[in-house]
Amino acid sequence: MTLTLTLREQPDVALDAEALTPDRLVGDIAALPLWHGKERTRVGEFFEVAGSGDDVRVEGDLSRVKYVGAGMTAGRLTVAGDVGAHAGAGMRGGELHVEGDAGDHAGAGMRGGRLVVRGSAGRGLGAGERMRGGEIVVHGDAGAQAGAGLRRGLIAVGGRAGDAVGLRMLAGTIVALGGVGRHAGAGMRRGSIVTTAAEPLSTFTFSCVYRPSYLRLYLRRLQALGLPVTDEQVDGRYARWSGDGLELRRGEILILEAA
Amino acid sequence: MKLHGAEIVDTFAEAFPMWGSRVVITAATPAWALEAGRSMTGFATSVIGCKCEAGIERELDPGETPDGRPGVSALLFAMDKEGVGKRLVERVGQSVLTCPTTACFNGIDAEDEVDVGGQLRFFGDGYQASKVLDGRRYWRVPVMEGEFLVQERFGAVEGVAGGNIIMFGRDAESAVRAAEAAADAMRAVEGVILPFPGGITRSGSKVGSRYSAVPASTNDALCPSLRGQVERTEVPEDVESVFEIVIDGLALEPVREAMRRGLVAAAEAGASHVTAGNYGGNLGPFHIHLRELVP
Repeated sequence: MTLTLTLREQPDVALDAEALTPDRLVGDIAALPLWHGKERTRVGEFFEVAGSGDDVRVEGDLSRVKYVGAGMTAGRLTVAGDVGAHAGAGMRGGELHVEGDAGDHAGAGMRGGRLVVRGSAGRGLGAGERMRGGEIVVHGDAGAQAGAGLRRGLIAVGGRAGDAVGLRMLAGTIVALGGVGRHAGAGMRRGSIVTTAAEPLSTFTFSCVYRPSYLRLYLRRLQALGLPVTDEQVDGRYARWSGDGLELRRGEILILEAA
Repeated sequence: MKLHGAEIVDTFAEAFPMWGSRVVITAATPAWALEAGRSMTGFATSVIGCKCEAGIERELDPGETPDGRPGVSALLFAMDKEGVGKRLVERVGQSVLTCPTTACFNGIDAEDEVDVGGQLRFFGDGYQASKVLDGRRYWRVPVMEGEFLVQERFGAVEGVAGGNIIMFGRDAESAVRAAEAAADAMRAVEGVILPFPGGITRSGSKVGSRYSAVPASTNDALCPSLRGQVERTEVPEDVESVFEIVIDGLALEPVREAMRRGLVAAAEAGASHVTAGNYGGNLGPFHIHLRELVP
């Protein structure tokens, strides 16, 4: 069974919608609280509710609706369009699918589950509050500071990730198939940034060109999740840059070599 | 009971529990995967002398392996779960980690697990790194070639060891031909291995010996050359040679199925008799009667 919520009209100011998770959408759904700016309101004021179940579909332009799917632990939530900031923040389980673009800080502080964005994501994807688990898959591009402070988990971007991807990351894996901006991995301690094009900072040191065994597992999984990973990327040779030398130098940037 | 001219003796194989794991080894080529698999499962014919029993289960196509490369799956058995863990650490460490281009993965999801990659990571001397993907942890161990990837935990299940059939031949050639045919037929069964060389042993044993330090000794009742010397022989007058195939499996049913296929193949290939080894029912809880396997 699918529970469908349809946005009646665009909110005047950002709508804080932490109630929009499969875990919380039970009972009298229309009466669940929302915050419209500083005003306390109810789900029923903004959304038309139909059906039931933990497979939730939210329709309409949610670009001014924040915290959709935040903290969800199970079930599936689909946003049939764009979504505002902090979508999926602090997720612990379940799947959040955004069929349009996601705002800033999507997946911030995730602990588990999967966030899939069919469009692009804003700044700070998976950043803030140290993401500690789960998977974020963005089919389009990602803004600056994707994966900043990442501690564990996987962030995959089908397009290009902006500046300072993996800023001060502690561990985990970031894949950006369309290249990365400037200052990738600045201050990173451990972890991996995998990409097709990058200019490592001078505090990174070239190690070698090789085929990292683990990368095949990751890229094949991303293929299975629908990202356009090519066989050349799976089978390819990668230049390994170790850094950041200002920190532990235990991290790496892997850059695909031209065939 | 007769099958294709072979006498099927009305007896049973007596099998017993052993813990087992499945190891998936991948490599850049099928040849290197097979090389690593053979090395890892070498000198693992009998738990009595080798601390474990192991063998290659089958070769794997790239589409069947976690990293999309050609591979082999191997099974390893020991008397307890801890033994499985220790032997895997030794053998993966010495035979797979060392082999060009390989990676090593758990091949069976089970409630019980043993730590393998978590021990082998120390070879990295502090330069090792781990990755967690889909809830599974892998260790990247830097090596001179590049990097060895090994999964941290391997599933362990309580399996069945000591399934067996014993084939008699009227001459040495026909006996080995029947044993080869039986082993070929058994290898097609998933979930079993035949731990002896080529799957076949010529030296089936009995428990104990007249020497206190020797835990197992030649099965004199089945040695044709001792027919005129021992108090009790099981070798018919027209039999010149005897071979045994031992089967270890991850569960009882694959062991039974392997015995069934082996029995039929041996009979078709010219065995004069097919029997099975047991200890009067006192050793193992699994009794596989040959009469139930005859089609």
